Parts: sequence; structure tokens; C-alpha cells
Amino acid sequence: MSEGDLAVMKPETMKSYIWLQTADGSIQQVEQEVAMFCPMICQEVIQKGVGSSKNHAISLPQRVNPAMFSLILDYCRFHQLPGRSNKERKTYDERFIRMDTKRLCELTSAADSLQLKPLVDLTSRALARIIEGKNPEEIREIFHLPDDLTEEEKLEPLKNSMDDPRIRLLNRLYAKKRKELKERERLKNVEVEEHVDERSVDDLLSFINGRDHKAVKMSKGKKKKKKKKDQKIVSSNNIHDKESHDLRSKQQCVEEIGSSMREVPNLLSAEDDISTPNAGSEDEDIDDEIDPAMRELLDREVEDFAQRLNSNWVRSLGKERRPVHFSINGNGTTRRHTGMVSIWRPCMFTLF
Amino acid sequence: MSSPERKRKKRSLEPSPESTPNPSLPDDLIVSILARVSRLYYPILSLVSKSSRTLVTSPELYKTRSFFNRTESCLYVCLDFPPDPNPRWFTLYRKPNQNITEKTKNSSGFVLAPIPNHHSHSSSIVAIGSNIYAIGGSIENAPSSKVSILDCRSHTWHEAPSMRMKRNYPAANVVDGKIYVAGGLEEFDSSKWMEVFDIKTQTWEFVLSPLAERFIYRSLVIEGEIYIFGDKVVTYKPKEDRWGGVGEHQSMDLGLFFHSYCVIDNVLYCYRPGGIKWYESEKRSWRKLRGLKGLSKLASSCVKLADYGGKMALLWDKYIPCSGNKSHSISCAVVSLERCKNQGIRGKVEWFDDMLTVPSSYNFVGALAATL
Repeated sequence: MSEGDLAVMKPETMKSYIWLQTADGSIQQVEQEVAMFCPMICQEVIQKGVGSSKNHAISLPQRVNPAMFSLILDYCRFHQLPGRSNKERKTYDERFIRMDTKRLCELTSAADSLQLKPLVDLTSRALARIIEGKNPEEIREIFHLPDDLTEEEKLEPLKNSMDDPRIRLLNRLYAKKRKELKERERLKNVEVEEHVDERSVDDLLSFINGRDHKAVKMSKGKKKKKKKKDQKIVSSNNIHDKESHDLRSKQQCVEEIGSSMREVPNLLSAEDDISTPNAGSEDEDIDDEIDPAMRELLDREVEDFAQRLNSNWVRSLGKERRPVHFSINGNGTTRRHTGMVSIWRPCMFTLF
Repeated sequence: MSSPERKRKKRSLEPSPESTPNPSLPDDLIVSILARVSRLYYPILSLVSKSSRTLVTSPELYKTRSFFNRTESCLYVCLDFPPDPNPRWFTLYRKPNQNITEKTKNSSGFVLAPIPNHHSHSSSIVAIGSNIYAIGGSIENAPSSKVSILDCRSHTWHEAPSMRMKRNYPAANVVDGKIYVAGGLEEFDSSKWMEVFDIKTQTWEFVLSPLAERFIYRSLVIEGEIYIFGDKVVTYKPKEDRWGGVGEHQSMDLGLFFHSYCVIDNVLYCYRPGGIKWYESEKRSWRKLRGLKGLSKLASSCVKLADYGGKMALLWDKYIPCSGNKSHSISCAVVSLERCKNQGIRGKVEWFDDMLTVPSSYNFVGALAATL
């Protein structure tokens, strides 16, 4: 043994081998140039002067088990040799990481504890690619992460923010009602109070869902008003009226959202079968007589132009910034120029 | 004694490393692994555990991503649902719970997911790095000088210094990490027509603009030069503080169609009914973008193009016939672009799919990509 110690202390052999001890207690000798490829070992040798003999073997971190260490040495042995082409190295790396996820995790952990950055990069990338194809349950398993989210929390990212306007509207309605109620209680007006009590949640909901067509018409009518000044006067004269107008406009939005936006949350979950018309399907019904896409195209063009004009036009007229949204979208009226249609139509059906 | 055969003499003592359970990885290692996962999968990670949910919105993770050079372009879409004054933001993700093995042929596996927070007004939008700036626009029907920032890492909004002027949907463009806004003034004043925001100093300064255009229809940036299309075309190159007209490029504007355009790698692309064209500045002419086989039919009045990290994101809407024209569906396609030998550009449709169903009264504010 002492002879051996002496042997490794000879300069030429000192350069050749380093003594290393894995966490299980086993000691082994490794070619110096291979072992020194690991920055952690390199530091130990340089800073602490250990590893030169069996008695002064470098203790490897807990996370380096013998099997992984042997793999890491293979990796080091390959990469520490100069003169290999990038292609060779890449091919080797690709083959090297072909192992199951569990071993890949162990290897990453071991390489990390030896500060072997290129290998950590390699295995982390491989793990990242694996994760990209996994579901939450499988990812939990890979990383030993606790399943500590409640079922409700798991639904959270899938929650539909499209519900917001409805909820906000409801809340606003409730707030308004509560305010009114308080006001009336203060006035001790029993009749009105009874009236308020009749408004159940269902009533509110049906109101929101747009069964009150009168209100919708009213709001549409208002929106159509070309004289912005009038609208401005109406809204500024009577705050309450403005508020209800606002609510009716909201209601219209909600009506539309209600009919179509419910699908949005489903889109996030693959299990939910939404019949999504295929974008590439050949039987698109754009070839109508009145061609909605065409009409819309023109609408948008008009709208776009009107919007541009409005931004200046409106400045002088009043405060309504985007009246075109209402006039165009409210009823889908078209202000198209017949000449334009004949120009556009052939283009529309030119396919890619 | 120090022969190579001896070096592994004790290795066989531990034949079964499998007997020990898979050791859990230290947190920083998990961060470094998850930082390499494409952000498209982050909603899935947020369903794993509390820690991973916190992690996917943490600055630490995004710092690691940028350290490893793993940043990627993330597509954001902004839609207006009048009369709701709050625009809605969506971002492109992979569908969670997607069973890879049972992937249906027609499903791209992508989804435009609503982001949880939204800010309070409709505005012009630009992206710098991981932030999206919402600039000016209107708040309660009045022009605004407000600037909001959407931090796309955490999907939170915060305020940036306001512009010096109130601007109604100004033309906003980014050159060298500075935001140049023009127009949208209540009272036209050429001395206050353009201002610039320096994100480093967080200040707005006016830009002396001899060629102010009263009305701006559209604007874009090519090779560090801002093109502003009004009644005339005005160009401004901030680097040289050079203003100019664009007489020779008049055909550039003529080919543009609404707001269905974008600039990718200094090439201007534009959708016109029938296809996508790109502007060849040497020949001053529009050329058809070849390829695009997957998109057999694309006829929509609302098509948005966006630079999606060098690829083109195409978003368009169409009526849903059965909805009684009350709803539209919004579809998305990602097209990779490559130069051909004949100086042309070929597009290749990577995927396309239906993304959202929206009420027909919606407005498409814009689509853009942040870098995360």
C-alpha cells in the first residue's frame, strides 16, 4: 500500500490517476485527465490537494452513485480527447442520452453535483424534450413533485375569462339594485321596495340574456344615432340614464357572448369535443349570392376607413370615439359600392 | 498497481442502482430543466404542482431561459368585444391534457388561451422583449396618454410613464428598443406630432418632425426606418434622424390592404384577397408568396399577420354559418418562410387550426409576438 502511495506520488504517475470515493464507500482510480474533466474534482485536486492517494481519496457527492459515475466517466473519456469533430461529439451525445427518464434524472443530478455543465445541459435538454410530451401526472412523477393542487385550482388556468363581463355585469346590477334598495329604504317607500324584491336572480339573468328586446332595440337605436352631440347631451344630462344605457349595451354584448363564447373554455381542454370547422375544408359556404365574407370585407373596409376618419372627425364632433363599431356591427348594414363588388369578387375566390 | 484494469475494481459491488428510489432533483436543477421546455407547454406545467405553478410565472425561470438562450417568440392576440371597453388578450399555447398518442388528425394541439388579467383600455400595441406596451387609445371615449405594460412572464399589467400628449390610437413602432408614436392628437400640432419612449431612461421626448401627416392610416418599420402612410408617405430613420418622402415606394402603400400586413426580417408581407404578397423593394413590386399549400381557401375580411419569431402568424376570422351570422371563428396558421433561389420567398404552412369562437361584433385589435 505504501509502495502504491509512493508510486502515485512519482510525478509521471501523479498526473495519471486520481483516487475517488463514491457515496457507497467504494474507492476507484480514474485517469487524471478524465477525472479532471469534472470541475468539482478539478477543484478538489487543486484547492485541497486531495485525490493523490487511496487514503486521501476525493469523496464524491451523495448524488453520484457508482452506476452514474461510470456513465459520467464514459462521457468525460470521450469528450476530453481533443480532435473529435462536432458531428462525432453530437452523435455520441445523442446515443449517450438514450436511456429511461429515471436514469436520465439520476444522471442529470450526478452531473450537476460534479458541476459538469455540458452534460447537465445535454441531459436537461433531453428531459425538457421528454416533458414536452407528458401530462401533469407524468411530470409530477418525473420530478417527485407533490400533487398539491386542489381540483379547483387545477381548473383555474382553464377558466374562461370570457365569463368576466357577465359576472361583472351581474355584480354591477346587484350593486345598483342594492344601492337603489338602500336609497328607497331610507325614503321608506314601501311600494318601490316590494317592486325591487320581485326582481329575482332569474329576472336579472333573463334581463342579461337579452329577453328584454325592448332594451336591446333601444340601445341599438341609440348607437345608431349619428348626431353625437345629442348622445353626449343625453348621457351627460342624466347620469342615471347613461348608466342604464351602458348596461343595455353591455347586455347586448352579453347576449352575444352568451350564445357563442361559452365554447372558449372548452377549447383549452382536448377532451371536450368541440366541432371546430376545419379551416381548410373545401365546402366553405362563402359562395353565397350575398356572400357574407365579401359583405363583411367591405364592411370592414368602410369601418376601417370610417374609424380613421372618425379619429379626426370625432374630435370636432364630440366624445364618441369609435361609433363605427356600433353602426357596422350592430346590424350588419352594408354601405358598399356596387362597383367595388365587381372588382373584389373575382379576387375573393382566387385561391392560393 | 496503477494499471487501468484496476480502476473499476469495486464497481460491481453495487449492481442495482435501481433499488434506490429516483432521487428528487434539487430545485435549481428543476428550474434549469423547465427553462428549456418550450413555453407553449407552460400551462401544462402549471397543473403539476403548487411549486411548478409558481415557477412558471417567476422572473427566475425567465432569467434562466434567457441565460440558456432559450427565449422564444410567444404569440399574443388582442380582441375587443364592444361595448366592453376592456380588450381581451389571448396567447398561443399547447393544449393541456393533450394525449399525444391519440392526437387527432385535424387538431393542431394549439389553443389561444385567454390570459387572466386584462387592462382597462383599448390602445395601440407594440412588443419589446417580454413586454407588450399598450399605448394611448381611448379611455371612456376620450384620447389617452396612458401607457400600460403587459409583463408576459407573469401576465400582469403595470403602468409605464404616460406620453406627453393624449393620443387616440397613435401609430406606434419600435426601432432599436425605443417606441416611436405619432399622430392621434386631438389638436393637430406638428411639433408634438411624434414622441419617443426610451425604455432605459423611461422617458418620453418629442421628436422634431418636419413632415408630420395629419391622418395616419398605417405604419411599419423596415431596416430601422419608420414608414408612416397618410395622405402622403413619410419616412423617418431615427438612427440618422433623417426624414423623407417615399415617392419611389408609392407602390408599397398601394398594395397594402387594411391592417393585414406585417414586416418579418425586413420584408413587408400583406394579405390581399387571394393570397399573401410580399414587397420586393429592389423591384418596387409586390410578389405572391408561394407555397402555403395547407391553406387551400383563405377568404376573410379580417386577416392579421404577425412576425412570429421569423415565421408568419396568420389569423383570420370567418362566419359560423349555423350561428345565424352572430358568431365568428378565429383561425390561426403558422407559416415558415424561406428564400428560394430565384429570389422569391416560399411559405410553408406548419399548422393551422380553428382557435376561438367570438361574437361577430368583436374587433380584432392586433396580434404580435413577445420574446420570452
